[in-house]
Amino acid sequence: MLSRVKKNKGVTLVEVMVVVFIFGFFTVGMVNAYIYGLKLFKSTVTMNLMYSDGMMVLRKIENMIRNAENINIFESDANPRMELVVPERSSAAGPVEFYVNHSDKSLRMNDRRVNHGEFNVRLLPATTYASRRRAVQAYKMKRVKFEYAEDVTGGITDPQQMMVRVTIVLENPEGDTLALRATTLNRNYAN
Amino acid sequence: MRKRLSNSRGVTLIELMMAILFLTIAGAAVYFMFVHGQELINEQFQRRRVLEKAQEKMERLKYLEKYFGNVPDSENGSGKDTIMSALNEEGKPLVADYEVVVQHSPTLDANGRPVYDSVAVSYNWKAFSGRRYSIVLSTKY
Repeated sequence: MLSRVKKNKGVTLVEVMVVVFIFGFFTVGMVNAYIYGLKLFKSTVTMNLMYSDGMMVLRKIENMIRNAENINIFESDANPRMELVVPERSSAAGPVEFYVNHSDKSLRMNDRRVNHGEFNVRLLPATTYASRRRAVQAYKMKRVKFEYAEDVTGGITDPQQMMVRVTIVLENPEGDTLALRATTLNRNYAN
Repeated sequence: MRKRLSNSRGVTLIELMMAILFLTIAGAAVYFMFVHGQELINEQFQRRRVLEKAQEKMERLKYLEKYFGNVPDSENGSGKDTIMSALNEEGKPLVADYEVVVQHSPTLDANGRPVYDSVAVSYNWKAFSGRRYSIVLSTKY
């Protein structure tokens, strides 16, 4: 023991630098992996949120398209709009209108049916979550498109049927986009 | 104790290499776990795309059924649909094989037409990872 103590000369600067370098290298790797994992987790969570919200709204629109008596689509990239005359037991006061509100960049439904009241509801983006500091929008709506899906019917025009395609594109804060599409057949259509 | 300490000569090259090997294997496992998870998530979204195509085909058959009275036999067949275009010039587009099967019911109505038509739309595709997927939608009109 005595001999070891006498021979002990500590560590050299080079040894310390090598150890610091190796530790630094591993730490940078670990932190990067952690940040990547966190980003992936956040992205997946918002993608799931976008998917469930988007599908819920699409199903609602799809259901209304199927039962509509008349459909009017204004195919426009800047101002997409769709009007549905939805049958009601009481006489309808006006069509149900789907449009994009430019001030808050949302997809809105303006329901003018009797007994539904005059009410205007924001369909998408549907959810906000509260961070510690402020309310944050978890995702935003990038694009909406309403169109007559003539490519599906393949040139056959039936005056009693109408094929409609609705496309919704959502984007999360990480920059991932999710496009949801529904092509729906309306069989009560009358010009 | 004294003997061991005085004989201590650090770690051998073999020990160091073993340690590096174990660390590399562990690191690779974590990395592939990430990559695999990401791949599976992407493939679920691709699956959603294919499902939209299949539903579109089903809607078309329903449309034709009302227009012609029955789903026409000419709808039977198979082919390829491009689900996603190539993301870059070197990339390959995602292409799915589809098959449409139309069968008329053996029982006929008063007008001599089949009472119902059984239709099935199936899609088969190979994801970029090499995994195979399939979707089958069927109903009676």
